[in-house]
Amino acid sequence: MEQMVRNVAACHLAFLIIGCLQFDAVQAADSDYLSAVKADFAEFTSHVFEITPDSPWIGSIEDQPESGGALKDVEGFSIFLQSKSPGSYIFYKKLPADYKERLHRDYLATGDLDRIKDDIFRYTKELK
Amino acid sequence: MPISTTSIIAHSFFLALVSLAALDSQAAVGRELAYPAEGAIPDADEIARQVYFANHFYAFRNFSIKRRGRTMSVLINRAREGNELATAVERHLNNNYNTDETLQSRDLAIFHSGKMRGTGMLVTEYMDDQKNKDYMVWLPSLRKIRRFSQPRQDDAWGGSVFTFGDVTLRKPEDETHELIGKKPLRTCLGIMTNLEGKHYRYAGKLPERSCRHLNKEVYGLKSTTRFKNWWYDYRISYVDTKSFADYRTLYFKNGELIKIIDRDWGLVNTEEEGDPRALFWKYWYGLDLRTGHESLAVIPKKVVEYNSNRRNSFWTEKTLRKIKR
Repeated sequence: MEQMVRNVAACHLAFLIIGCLQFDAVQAADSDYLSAVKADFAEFTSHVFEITPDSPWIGSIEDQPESGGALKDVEGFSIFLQSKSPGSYIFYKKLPADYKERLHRDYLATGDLDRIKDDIFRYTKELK
Repeated sequence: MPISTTSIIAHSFFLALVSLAALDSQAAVGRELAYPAEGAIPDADEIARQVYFANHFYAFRNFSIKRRGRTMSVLINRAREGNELATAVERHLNNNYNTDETLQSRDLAIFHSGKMRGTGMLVTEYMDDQKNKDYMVWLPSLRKIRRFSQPRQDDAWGGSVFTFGDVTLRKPEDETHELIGKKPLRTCLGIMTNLEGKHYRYAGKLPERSCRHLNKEVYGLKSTTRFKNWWYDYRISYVDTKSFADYRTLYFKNGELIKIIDRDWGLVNTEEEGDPRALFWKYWYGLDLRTGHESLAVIPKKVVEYNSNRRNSFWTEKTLRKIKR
């Protein structure tokens, strides 16, 4: 009987260790990221995107200009540029609206901020 | 009711046509794959072929992730709660083999750090889809070239979370494809959060999580493997409806999500110019949920070069032999 109790206890311990290891593996990843990915995937079937409040992985157009959600429009892009490259922004803000729109479009396509900075100076020279 | 000879012939002809069409839908993807006509809605097989096209840089004659000074592309691997292990790599891909019907492409990789420092690899892909790729490896310690057989699709690429199948070997015909829907991409792409935006050796400043693609419309493409007892049952890819960039792939086994790969893409030119599929990878992030392992491959823009005037002779054994230790 005593042996049996000992076996059961050992068995529980083994399960506990395995459980802990599995839990650790998942914990290693960013749980906010995983939740965001799962919510995004669920939208394919549910057609509803359930937003996790304050998730740093989900862009919110209204609240989080830094997250990139605000990059959707020129205004948001201007805020983004001001924060990332204040020097270039001085020249950018003097450009006509159509140039700003083009720069915004180019950034969304290429994701290359250095190229955008070069283009700002090029356009500024062109307009002089 | 007797069946006339004419109807049998007509039926056979119809069957032959159907078979040819089916064969064509599985045809190998090459540089000649056209962008879908404006207004046309591509089916799942067509989307899979377009994704393959973008991932193999067929929009370019050649594509290089080269070394510029001390800046190089870097692959960072991290085991669960372990330290990062970085490998710097240079890669040159040549798709410019139109005149030679036997070769499809040649891919030259040179490792610049870690245990593989000084090792070079030349991979030759043939037009004949049934033919395996040739792997020639320059071993610096022996100062000799050795030929290797093609790795398995499930072998880890550079010890990372990515497999050879993920990076290069998996072809559209290795899976069956189904379109599960179309929707906006809602989340930023993953990254190793502790390294986000920090300076790192070889690559310089590492990227921050990419949120540029938020709200871009993506297809949900379900691809089910044709291989038996494979490491995943199916995977879901988020594919840009315009550029066919696959931003995210989720791998499932027995209904459970087991692995995620996120890819940040950049268009080499602006939207008004050229092929919308002329894209390059900015970074890849992989997370294996079974082990907790993470991988991050970063390609700084300044090391990307495309359609250069390099001669085809660059992609030969001669270049491998020139690699310095």
